[in-house]
Amino acid sequence: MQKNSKRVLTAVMTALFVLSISYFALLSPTTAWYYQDASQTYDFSFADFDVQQEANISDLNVMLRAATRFADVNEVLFGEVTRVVKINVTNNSGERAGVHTIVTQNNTTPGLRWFVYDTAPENEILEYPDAAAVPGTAKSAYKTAIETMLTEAGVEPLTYTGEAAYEAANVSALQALDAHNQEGIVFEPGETKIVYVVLWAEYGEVVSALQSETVQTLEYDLDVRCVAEPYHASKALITVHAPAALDIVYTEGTDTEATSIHVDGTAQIEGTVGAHFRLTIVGSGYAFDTANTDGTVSAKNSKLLTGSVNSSGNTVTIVAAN
Amino acid sequence: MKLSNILRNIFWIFTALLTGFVLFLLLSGTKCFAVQSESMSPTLHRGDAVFVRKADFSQLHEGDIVSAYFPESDGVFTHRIQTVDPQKQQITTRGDANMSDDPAPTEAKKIIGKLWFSVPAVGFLSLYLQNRTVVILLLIAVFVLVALRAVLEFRKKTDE
Repeated sequence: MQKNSKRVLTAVMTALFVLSISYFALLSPTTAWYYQDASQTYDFSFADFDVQQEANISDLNVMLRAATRFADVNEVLFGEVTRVVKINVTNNSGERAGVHTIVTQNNTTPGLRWFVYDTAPENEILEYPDAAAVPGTAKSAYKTAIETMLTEAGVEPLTYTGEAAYEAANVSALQALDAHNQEGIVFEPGETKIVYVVLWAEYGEVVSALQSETVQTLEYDLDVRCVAEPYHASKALITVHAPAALDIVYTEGTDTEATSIHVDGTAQIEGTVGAHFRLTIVGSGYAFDTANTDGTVSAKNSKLLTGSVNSSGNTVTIVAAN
Repeated sequence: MKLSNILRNIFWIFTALLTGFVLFLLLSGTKCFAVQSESMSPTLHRGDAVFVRKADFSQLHEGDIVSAYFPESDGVFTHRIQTVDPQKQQITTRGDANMSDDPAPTEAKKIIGKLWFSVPAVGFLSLYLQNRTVVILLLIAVFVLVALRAVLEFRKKTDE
């Protein structure tokens, strides 16, 4: 074959090769939101409380594709944004128990958030584009749970426009999330239910690492620890000192106990160390003064306070609200 | 025969086959997508390329794998048919890796076609080259350089 012809043919073939490869380089993606990692399910049965009852899921590697926001409108890659770790927990101890789930991150990738809940979704798969369109699905279940928790804490609910609630600078949202995750889940004797640990990346903390239109993967190395302990109903005596028109309701688990009111604006909480309490101010004109409140207290907002009883008790101050 | 000639011939044959294959896909209306998620594992995996042929609604059956547009957006998903409703002209689908059906049925008009075949790993190139503008510019640049070289070579020979 003449050299000229060879050169021309080589050039033509090269061009065709490039064009053919470009066909495969420009393929549209096919994806689905309807994906939940069913492989991350663990079992934890506990019984005898004479020994520490816990389960450890060590070196759990979670890959999150942080290409989109948790509450973005189209949620095209929602399935790549969250992971749900399911722990099938059974109480074989013969007594009421509380199970706390602790997530520990072993690497330094920023932005990890997690939320523990135990409400089984009607539908295991993730949500369709419009979060409100298909109630009962897994995403709507924990999204609703997170929104309820935040609403009670006085923080903007989880919506696309309310996404600012999850900005790293929003201390109240982070505190509310931490407080919720510390509360634990109650198990009656013989009860089995699934503890869901929802993991996602806080968009505001990772956005600088993301390029537009590029999917990047965030890798988190985690230990997930479940600890079961006997659940003690608090024997706390709550003496509340505040003007007579003020009611404070103390709630622990499903037990509700109204308290009497006195006048000097301080509540003293005593009881079983570690027992959880939840105080709600009913009525207007007063607020919890968290700046002058000591002990293990998580301030959710001025009307709601949660915490656990210290060895020396907790002091809660109530002041007139502005 | 020189090694370079052998390699060149292999390149020509491969390119001819590849070009013919791409032309066939284009002329037959076959659509190709890159699988982005694992919702269809173990049948399809991320990075697979799926080739989808248009099919009439009457040709769709339970167990077929179809590609379709999401009802509310332009995105495409590829899942397996669970039920076919001829009266409502819609199907329900589920990913092989999912424990439940997809939450909403898909209308016939949103169905792109039925899976013809898939090729593993071919879709990775497009998944990683997410910035299409850059890819297109690079391809144009390569094309121009190749064409330019061919023209210069030809002119050089002509001058000689």
